[in-house]
Amino acid sequence: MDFSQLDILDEFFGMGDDSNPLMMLVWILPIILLVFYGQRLQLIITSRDIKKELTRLEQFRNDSRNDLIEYVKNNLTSKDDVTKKLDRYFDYFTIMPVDIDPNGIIPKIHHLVRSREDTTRRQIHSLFTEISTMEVTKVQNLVEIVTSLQLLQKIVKHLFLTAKKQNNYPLILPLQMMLPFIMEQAEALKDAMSAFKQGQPIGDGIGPFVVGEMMLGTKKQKIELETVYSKSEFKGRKLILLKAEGPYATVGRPGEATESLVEQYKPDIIVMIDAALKLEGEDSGEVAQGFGAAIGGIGTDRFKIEEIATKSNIPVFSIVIKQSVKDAITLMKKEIADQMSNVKNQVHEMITDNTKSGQTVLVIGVGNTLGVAQ
Amino acid sequence: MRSKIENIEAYTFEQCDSCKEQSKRKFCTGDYVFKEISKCSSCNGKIRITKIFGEVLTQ
Repeated sequence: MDFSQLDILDEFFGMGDDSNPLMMLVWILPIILLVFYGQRLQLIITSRDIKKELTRLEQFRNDSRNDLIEYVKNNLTSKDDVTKKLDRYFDYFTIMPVDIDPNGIIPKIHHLVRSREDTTRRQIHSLFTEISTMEVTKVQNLVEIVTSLQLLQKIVKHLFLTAKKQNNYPLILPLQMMLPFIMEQAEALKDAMSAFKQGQPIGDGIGPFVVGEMMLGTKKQKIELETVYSKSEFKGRKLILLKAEGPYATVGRPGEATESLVEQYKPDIIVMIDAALKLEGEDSGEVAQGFGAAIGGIGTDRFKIEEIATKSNIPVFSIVIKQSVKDAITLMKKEIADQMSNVKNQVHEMITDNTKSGQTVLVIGVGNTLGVAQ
Repeated sequence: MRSKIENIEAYTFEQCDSCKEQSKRKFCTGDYVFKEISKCSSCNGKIRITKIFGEVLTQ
């Protein structure tokens, strides 16, 4: 039989004829479908990806919660079952002060943050029969990690379910764009648990590490809660060294401590050392010098330091050690730890370049001093 | 392509204050930077932890 004469394709799909109705349907139907249901299809595809990430986020939250509960049960003697109380702490929220009249909002934020910190510390104390300062600060940080993960998971879930409920594709777009950054933060928080449980120095502790080394052999004095200072000398300059009290898992109270030290010693310059977020393409452990108060957080400590420095006309210099979010809150990497001597030399250089013999310098090591004494 | 698994191992670096003899070992619970560990066997100086850091072991 000769099949060469059989023109099935041409008969059904009109390969040689543009007006075939079946062929027109093949092209037009998907177009109509995509015009009316395109967004819904995109919503289905995007939802599937977001759901996967949301499951991971829930896993992170659950793992870190269970880790913390296991840690306190194995290492501390609790008065009664701590699980219920800890679960309540993870749900704590903070209502920020009214900002439509910004006059004097900083003292309100400061009061709010300190009240929260003090209350959490007191509550952790009350959970256990005997607990050291080291353990209180560790548990406080661990609770903070679980709370942050829980908050991230709740926000992502809320945005996802709202978009699904409304069947609204544009509503899911901001979440899709932000999700990789949220997941990066969440992974960093999850990985931070291990360092905090074992009391290991974290990347953010490089500032206290440098100043702690400069404090060795000097008499340490307490100036604020979990904050210490000491006096030293370098090439005829009087150095006032300030850092959080290590090896506790704390950032101390550098704002209030700087206010007291400036009033007491009237320094000629302030040098701040802190970890800073690196830009993409920069290497972890890169050191940079600059001007202004190098200190993170909600902004109240920076405000206090800037305020007192401006009032007393003191120049503020800073040295930052670049690192990623993950590097900053997980076990200090070798390349960051290796920068300690380099940063110390840069501090000394900064002091000789900007002061004369006989002048006073306030050196502040900013960051969480977990695993770093002085 | 299989993704590489990164394991981070914590190490403690010790140094004698006087003779500057150094040693590196795995991190133990209770270690912290600037902790005085013991006396140096060669010069009787103070041995102190000078660094604690993580090194990536790629598998």
